[in-house]
Amino acid sequence: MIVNTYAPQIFNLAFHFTHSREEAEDVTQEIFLKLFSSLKKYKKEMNFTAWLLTLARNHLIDKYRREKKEKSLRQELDERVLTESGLLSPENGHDQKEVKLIVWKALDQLSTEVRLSIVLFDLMGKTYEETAEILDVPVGTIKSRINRGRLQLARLLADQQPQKRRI
Amino acid sequence: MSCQEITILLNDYLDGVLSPTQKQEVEAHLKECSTCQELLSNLQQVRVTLREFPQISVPPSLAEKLYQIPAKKKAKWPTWLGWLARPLPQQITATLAALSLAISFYTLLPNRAMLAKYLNQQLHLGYHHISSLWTKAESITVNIEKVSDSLKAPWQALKEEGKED
Repeated sequence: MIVNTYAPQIFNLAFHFTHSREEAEDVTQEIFLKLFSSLKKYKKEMNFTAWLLTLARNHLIDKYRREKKEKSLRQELDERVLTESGLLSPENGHDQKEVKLIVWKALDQLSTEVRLSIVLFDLMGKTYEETAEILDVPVGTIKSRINRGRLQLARLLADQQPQKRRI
Repeated sequence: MSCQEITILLNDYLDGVLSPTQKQEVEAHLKECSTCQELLSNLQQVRVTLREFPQISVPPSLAEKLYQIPAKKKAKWPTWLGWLARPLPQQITATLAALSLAISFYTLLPNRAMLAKYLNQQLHLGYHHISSLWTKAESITVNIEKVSDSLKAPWQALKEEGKED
């Protein structure tokens, strides 16, 4: 029941955060192990999804801090990861693929908290309120992070596109 | 409005949540500023692209591993075993375990009769040893009492002499 309902959310959050399918699988398992050992701490009055995603977020942040150096080595794998995961489909035109790849790579350049806000709100379709509850910050902070993150991505897209055209 | 002020409003402009006045100001600025126009166009692209990233499905192999986690946890640490590991039951469990070990050792021993005889001898030896110690202790107590009584009379005499002086 828990696995069927929540594994897709945890796996997608982990995948969009780590940008690696293998790592997302490992992280999802680690988060579920944590979940089953922390279930005693869950109180009925809490929103379970938000509680679980907060647990996932804490795990991801801890892991990311520990393994920050490793992330830089993965950059070259982005296109393969995107294609294999179906995020770059054959129906996508060349420009569309290019923009997707730039945005995907640019996500990695955002700060952890901004990236998590964007992943939860824009990629996973959570509301401002849900995102704020998961990340344990006020709604205003989430709105500001998402605004900042999207503008940063737009600027990175602007920087990347002319370069690509020149090539 | 400056470019910086407009930039902050661009997301709300695309969401259509600006007040009519702010909307007019943004549009007026955009007509004259190509940098902000370009930023708006890129921002639109980013928003569309982010929404287009599909949710990926959980691989069956991963789902299978996840289903096994609760069962593994149960097998690893059953509830009754967890109860036994609590501080107070832990002591009782340890005592019972030691006792059952001793009993099983005694019961399963092939030459049990010899061990019983040996244990009996040891118990008797121990008893005799303790009773002889007890007798010694009693005689020592009697001697101490005798010495104490013999010292009482000289002590009284010395005390009285001291008073007279």
